[in-house]
Amino acid sequence: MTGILQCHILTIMDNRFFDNWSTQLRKGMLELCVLNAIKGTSLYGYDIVRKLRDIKGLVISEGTIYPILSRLKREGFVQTTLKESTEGPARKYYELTSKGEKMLSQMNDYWRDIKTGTDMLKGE
Amino acid sequence: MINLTDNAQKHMDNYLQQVRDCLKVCSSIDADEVEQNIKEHIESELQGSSEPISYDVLEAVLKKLGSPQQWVPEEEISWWRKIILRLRKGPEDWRLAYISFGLFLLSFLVGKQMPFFAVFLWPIIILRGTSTVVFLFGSFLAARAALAVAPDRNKLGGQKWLLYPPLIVVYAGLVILMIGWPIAPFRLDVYKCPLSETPFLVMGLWLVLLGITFCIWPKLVRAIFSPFADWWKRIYAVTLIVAGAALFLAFLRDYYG
Repeated sequence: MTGILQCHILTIMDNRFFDNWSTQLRKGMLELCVLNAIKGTSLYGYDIVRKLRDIKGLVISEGTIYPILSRLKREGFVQTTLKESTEGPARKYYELTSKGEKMLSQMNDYWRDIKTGTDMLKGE
Repeated sequence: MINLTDNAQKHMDNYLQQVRDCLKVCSSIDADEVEQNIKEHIESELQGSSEPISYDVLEAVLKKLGSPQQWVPEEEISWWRKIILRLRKGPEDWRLAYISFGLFLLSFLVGKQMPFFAVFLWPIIILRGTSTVVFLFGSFLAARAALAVAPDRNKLGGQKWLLYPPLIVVYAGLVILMIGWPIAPFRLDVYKCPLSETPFLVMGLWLVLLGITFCIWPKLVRAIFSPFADWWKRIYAVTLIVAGAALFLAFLRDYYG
């Protein structure tokens, strides 16, 4: 009985560790993915969410994307333009600014280095 | 505009209120813009559903959007809001630590007519039925529960500062009670004792009894005074027996001498 309980507690602790780790990783990755999603194009907020939710494990709560978009806009990495829509009122489209393009390039380089290093450690 | 049932509309209004409440604390986010995006997201998701939209259909969309509390960057939440959030949805061990410390502070506040050190004398206060003791024991139980669920009691980190104060106060009172109860009635002159040496006799016998008990069950001390008595060994109980025996001999010397 004690053994089962200990095993159960260890599983809970392992899950908590993984949850914390993946949450931390996701935080930074989401910003990178949002910027990559609108690279070279302009997208409606909902379309960005649809694009990102197909990536397994990336978007746990879809609403998270919108505050990120707002923050990126405040930082001057993205800008918005209003475009007429056939389905209702005008929609806000997001696109990269030149400052955003530079930042994205820097972030992609950084991520590539990390990924290469991690793959080397794994022996791939 | 989508058409919602009354229940669904109320649910939607509540959700958007949560969005506003959570985001207004963030200086890096335009709350109005996010709210507008969320509204458009919900409308886009519900397009094609039969109207009026029911509560359950809306709930499925809101569930995927997630709780607005998750959207706020932690570094932008004020310290007092973090405490409230931790109490509401934080990890169990921290929640208990905050509850414990909160109750501990309350025990001081409700007993403000008493001097600070008086709280250590809770065994006496308890006889007066003061609410201080109720909060203190609530705090103590929460602290012990936090210790019980802690993955490693030796790595409590910052939680020590929240958990140890009520434990120390209760344990100190317990030690005073444990050592002092046999002689308290004599000090208070409850018994009309014919012999002035009787307290030595009672105290001596009690210490011997206590020493023997702790010698047989050393785990009892470790369990009662956890986590401060992990070092307790049988040999320390022998000290109590010796002290008790010395008092007993003192009684015999005075009685026959």
